[in-house]
Amino acid sequence: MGFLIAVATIPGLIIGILCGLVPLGIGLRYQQLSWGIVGLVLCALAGFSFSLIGGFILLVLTTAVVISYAFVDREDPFTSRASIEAVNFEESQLEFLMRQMAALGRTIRQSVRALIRNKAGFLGFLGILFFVGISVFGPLFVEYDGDTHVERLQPGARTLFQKPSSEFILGLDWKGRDIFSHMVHGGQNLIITSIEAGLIATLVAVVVGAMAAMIGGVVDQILSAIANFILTIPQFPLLLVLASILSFSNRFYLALLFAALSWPALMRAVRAQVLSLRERDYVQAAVALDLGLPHIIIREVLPNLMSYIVVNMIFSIRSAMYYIVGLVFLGLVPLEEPDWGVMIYVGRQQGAIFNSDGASMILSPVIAIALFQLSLILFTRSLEEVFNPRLRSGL
Amino acid sequence: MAGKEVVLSVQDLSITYLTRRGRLQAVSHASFDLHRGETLALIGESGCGKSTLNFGLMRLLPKNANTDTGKIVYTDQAGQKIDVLALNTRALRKFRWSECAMVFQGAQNSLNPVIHVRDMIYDTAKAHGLNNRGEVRERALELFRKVRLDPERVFNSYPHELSGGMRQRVLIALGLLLNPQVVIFDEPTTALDILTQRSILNVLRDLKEELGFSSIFISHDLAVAAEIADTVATMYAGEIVEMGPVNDIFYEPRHAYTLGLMEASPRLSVGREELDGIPGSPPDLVEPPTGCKFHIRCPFAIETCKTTPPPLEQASMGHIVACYKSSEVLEKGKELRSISSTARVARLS
Amino acid sequence: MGVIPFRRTDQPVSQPSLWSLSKKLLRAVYRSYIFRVTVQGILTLWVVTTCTFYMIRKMPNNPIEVKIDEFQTKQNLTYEEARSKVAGLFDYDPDAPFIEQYTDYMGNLVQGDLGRSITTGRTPVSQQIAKYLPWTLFAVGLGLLISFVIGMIVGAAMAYWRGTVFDNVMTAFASISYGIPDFVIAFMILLIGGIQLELFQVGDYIGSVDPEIKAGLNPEYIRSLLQHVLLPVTTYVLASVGGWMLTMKSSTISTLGEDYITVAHARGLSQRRILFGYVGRNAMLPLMTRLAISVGFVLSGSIIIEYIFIYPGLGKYLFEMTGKRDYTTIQGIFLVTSAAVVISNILADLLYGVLDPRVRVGSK
Repeated sequence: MGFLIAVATIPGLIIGILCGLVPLGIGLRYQQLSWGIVGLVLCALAGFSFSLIGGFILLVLTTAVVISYAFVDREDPFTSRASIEAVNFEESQLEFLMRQMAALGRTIRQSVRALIRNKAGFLGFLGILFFVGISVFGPLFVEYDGDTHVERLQPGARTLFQKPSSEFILGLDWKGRDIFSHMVHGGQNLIITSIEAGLIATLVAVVVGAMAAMIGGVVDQILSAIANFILTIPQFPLLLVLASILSFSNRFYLALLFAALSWPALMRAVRAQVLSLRERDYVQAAVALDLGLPHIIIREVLPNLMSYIVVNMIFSIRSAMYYIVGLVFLGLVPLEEPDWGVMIYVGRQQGAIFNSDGASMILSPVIAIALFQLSLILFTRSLEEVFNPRLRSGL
Repeated sequence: MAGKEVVLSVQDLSITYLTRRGRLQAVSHASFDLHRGETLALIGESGCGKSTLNFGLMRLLPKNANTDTGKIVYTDQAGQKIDVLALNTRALRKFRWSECAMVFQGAQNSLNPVIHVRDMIYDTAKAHGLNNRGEVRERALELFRKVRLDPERVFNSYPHELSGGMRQRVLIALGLLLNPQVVIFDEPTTALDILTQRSILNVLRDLKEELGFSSIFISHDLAVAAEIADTVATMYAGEIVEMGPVNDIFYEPRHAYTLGLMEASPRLSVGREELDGIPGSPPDLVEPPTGCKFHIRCPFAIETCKTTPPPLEQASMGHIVACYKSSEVLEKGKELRSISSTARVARLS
Repeated sequence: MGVIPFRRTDQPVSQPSLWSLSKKLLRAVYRSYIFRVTVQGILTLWVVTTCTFYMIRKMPNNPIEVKIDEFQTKQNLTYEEARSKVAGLFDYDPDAPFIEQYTDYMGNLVQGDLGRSITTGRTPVSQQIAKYLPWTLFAVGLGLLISFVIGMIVGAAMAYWRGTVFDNVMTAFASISYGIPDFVIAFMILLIGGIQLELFQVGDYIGSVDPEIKAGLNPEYIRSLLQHVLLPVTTYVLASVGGWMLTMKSSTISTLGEDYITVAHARGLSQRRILFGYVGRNAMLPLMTRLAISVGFVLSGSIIIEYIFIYPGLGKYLFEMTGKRDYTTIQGIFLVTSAAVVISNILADLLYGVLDPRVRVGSK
């Protein structure tokens, strides 16, 4: 199993509601009830689908938004010359926390506005939400149809394949199973593995790239040489051969293998960016103040790379999905049903391509994958606006 | 000066940009005459519409810009009047550079980085029907010599092989290649070091004397403008607020903004220890302030300034100004000058 | 070196000593740059080869053990018998020290011998590669060429008329083309075009070439070749043209915003000259490098596309050999494809140097 869990569970729902009580409570306290309720609903949904992780993240985010509506920044002491002696610079810890949360909340509000502003990007966001929603909540409503149904054989038909009908809206597959139920249940594993692979690859790339650039010298040379070396070997063939030699039983290892092969491109870009950032004045200032490498990388350099990194992470997730489906389709990964990729593989094996009744078995997952990938690409446009402060504030 | 023949006459020129937030009035109702052999300096803060005005003169504005009103009339060497705004694409192409050339900031990449300087020269000549490469080459080398460049070497160089000052000279030579009557200089000395600035200015003055072209000189450096110009026009928020002979403007400014610029400029307020900036920043041109656009930042502002824009009025011979308080400004300017000269005397003694 | 256009001036150089001396110096730096990347390339290939060599012999499930196991169970041989048999197959002496095997292999490699295939009757690997390579080169190369040319033209047009209906429609198309994986397009063509709408007979378009037509330079054969390459090429083009279009568009837009374009307009240059000599040339610069790199990856092709259309390219062959665990062949294919990437990277650098005078000298 990987590190992401995305199943709608009752304990998750309870966790989510508990988390949601925090923004609700703060909303009540500061007369921001409507935002408190929005926070409760979002937390409950996130907890329902992603359990503790989702619930907690949304707890922080929605609370910040509620506080940002309630919290009024005190006047900037530096705007008027007269009061400069009278200003009290003391600040209690709670006040500090509130101010930080309010700042975070304002950033989130700006980000949401930026997200909605770009129509294509918002469309992509909705698309991703749609697929994730179906994969997470779909199983609650649609039962998985895993048994062979010979009784569904139409009179006169030679195969159990069936065209979409009112009873089975996406038709039946070669065993007479409901394709729609496979679509609902079969996306989760693929999406999660792709996201894991993309996340790991990005993480490795950013850490290695930033390290190479900030440390420099021999470390830089060695890391760059490794990256260049991996870039020379065509990726998919190598992945294919390695996957077939190693024959994984677990998809998570596939994600790791993908990450191991695909970090170099982003790493080189991050390295180049950090190298150029390193020459900027504010980074030089941080170096001069001896603030330490982690501080410099995390506080000074990374924020400037965020939009770039996030967009690349999406691309990474996208190509991970492409490669995983590709490997499944070529039959190099153990087949676990239900899965979109396996549907394509088995569909092709069972002659769905040349059987006009069976086209749905291949077309359904193919179109779903296409739409999901398209959504990812469109979503990057919004992400660029969200993570680029200059674009975020809206010209 | 005024008796000389008018080469370029601009009347009531207004230019707006269509932006996401609305119409941006970049130049409003600008009028001026440029006489033969004369240099007109346009001064003002960044974003006051100087460059837009000049791009408008050559119709080089981007697609989202619109020339709403006005007339640009150019008198060519044969004495014929050309209405620039009425030219069709073909005639406009011929008009550009052969009649009116523009020298951009050389430090930026005004030169195509992937082709030789010589090809840029040949391109320009060819576009205007000069196909004899030998002659063009001779002319270019001659000009390079005049702008004090090593002709052969520069002619066969790529732009990136030249220094900022050299590139600026190449641009000047390129601008004079077709012997235009009017040359627009768009901050040609900005972003150059002070010594290079000096030598470029010397080159310009010599060339002007020798070739006799008229020029419009954009600068936010008052010292440079004072040195090269015959007439100075101050622009604020897209309007020409004061225009007059160079000495009038610098010694007897009558617009509060011009005075403010003088006070903010180091080399013109010699002896004063502290420079006074103009408080605030240029107004938003999408929603410009009512009345005089400068009233928010103006120390002389009265109630009328907030509601009614002041008209451009003749203040003295060839000196026009749009300010209700021009006489107060004049007084204040004299006062400041006397202070600074006493300070200077005090320091010298 | 014919590559560097240090063109002669049409006038005798006025100051020969200093100028020609510095020219010579720059040329020397340039030469050493080529020398350096070549050495780097060879080094990379050596590492690739060594790694694959090591992998085959030391990895878990390594093919030698697998084969030995296979012979033991299938043919009831003792371990020693199976082992000697496998040794014969793999063209090496299992008792020889690792270093010796390695030097043997490398020695052969230097002489251009990639070893022999395990599963296809001991045919030389190079011969097998030579058999499958042209198909991939033909299909992917053609696809790349077409999508690059279309992408350049349409992308530049999109930038030129940006904001118009044409731009919006093309941007939407390009986003879809860029966003959808190639195998999706392949399936769409097959399933919707071929099966559902019956626009064409799928059987006539998949595979390499109609086997009944004699190979040669006759029109029928060429027609058959093109007919069978049509679907893979269409897929490649549809899947990759969007990327080229979008890149060219953004590159052209940023070039159009450059000062020298405004200056060129001010100089009264003709629209055509500005478009080709000023906008086009500068906008294409970053794309040429990408093109050269893409050319390097042509050989590795697209395994999935070749598999779907049963096209006998190198990718499909690699997939088959992976299934059969024919490791000498796999090793050979990796060497060849990596070499293509290395060479094209070097060419990309050189090409960039030729096209952009700024990097011709002085760069790292």
